[in-house]
Amino acid sequence: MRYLLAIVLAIGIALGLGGWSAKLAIDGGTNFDTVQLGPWVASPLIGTQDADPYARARLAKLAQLTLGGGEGIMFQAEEDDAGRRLRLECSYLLSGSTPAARFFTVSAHSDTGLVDLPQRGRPGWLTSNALLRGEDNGFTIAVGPSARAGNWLATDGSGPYRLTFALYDTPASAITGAAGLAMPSITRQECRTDG
Amino acid sequence: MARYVLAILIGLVGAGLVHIAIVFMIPNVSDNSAWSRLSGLGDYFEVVRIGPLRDASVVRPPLAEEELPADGGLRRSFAFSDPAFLVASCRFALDGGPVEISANGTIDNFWSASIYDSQGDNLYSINDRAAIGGLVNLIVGTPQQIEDVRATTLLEDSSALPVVVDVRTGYMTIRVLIDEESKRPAADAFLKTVSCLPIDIRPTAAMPSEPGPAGEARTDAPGPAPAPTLAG
Repeated sequence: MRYLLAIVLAIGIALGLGGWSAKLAIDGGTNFDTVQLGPWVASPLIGTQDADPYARARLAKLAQLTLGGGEGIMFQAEEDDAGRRLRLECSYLLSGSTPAARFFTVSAHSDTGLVDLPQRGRPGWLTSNALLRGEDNGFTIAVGPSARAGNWLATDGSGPYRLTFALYDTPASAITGAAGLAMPSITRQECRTDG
Repeated sequence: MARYVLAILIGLVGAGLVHIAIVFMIPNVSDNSAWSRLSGLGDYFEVVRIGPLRDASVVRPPLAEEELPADGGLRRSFAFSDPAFLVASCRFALDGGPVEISANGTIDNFWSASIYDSQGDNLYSINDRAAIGGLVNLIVGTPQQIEDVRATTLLEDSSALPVVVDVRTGYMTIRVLIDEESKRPAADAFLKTVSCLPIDIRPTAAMPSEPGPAGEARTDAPGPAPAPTLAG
């Protein structure tokens, strides 16, 4: 009887702790092999055979179609430049330039991968082909719930989200951590407090 | 007391093994992987349309006429999809011979195509500038099948690009950029011409005028392939 209790304890710890830690590591995002440019993070290896086992497991749970090297690379930001979580209630200003690419798109996603589309008639995504640029070829994009002149990406709702910045047909697909590439900065502006 | 200390130690070692086992097993058993979801959308060689994952809990008026049908809206959705793209996809099996992925004509929009294995690893990708003449025309096969294709006249005077993959099954995607809403109908029509069919490369039919039906090509598979007998 006493042996039985010890066996149950061992099995309980093995299954419980093993399962819990695996779930935590897969969902929480163990970020091996990522490239960070300011607040922007990319995983060039995700969706390749060189990806780490946690990234592979996460990919299998998400049903994400990763971009191949000949297609492009996807950067995502969860925080602004000051390290505060991006929230749908707030407005942000993206400004700067990008690594060389044929074009890029900017969109907003929830943490589980839902695309955040605003109400009809509002721009839920931007492509660089239709972007207004400054004299130095740089650009400024306003992101937020209220309409802006110039480049505006509309968001809607409340809660945390992430910005997705996808570069297409770009040599940056093959970047490593040492690459000196620039991505736009994310500056938080005002936040709505109609909660 | 010592017995319980030992039980806890064994439990901890077991937890490590369980952790590793789960992490490595998920890509094979997940019912939400891209492969599983595509399996639910269509059979092999069937071209299906997929779209971005949207928040179903928020009721919003449809954004445009392209809205996904009410039935399979969520099943057609994939995480972190770029909403600026229209995407078509098909699953393929190489048992019945190499697979030809093609579309009629060219399109001015940016497009890119990817080949994935059934675990979701990207094996090959290409975009409109890298493709010959901007045409979607890929012949996907195992190393042996591509060798057989080279022995035929399929690749002569053709825009077809041979793609060697070392898998039995996989899927492909073609993405077309919609950078202006006015380009959506053209992109939609272009994706409707995408085909994904096994081709017949028997020496007797060196230049098939059109790929035979999938069933016919697959019944040829069990027979000995021509190339090994030549090599032997």
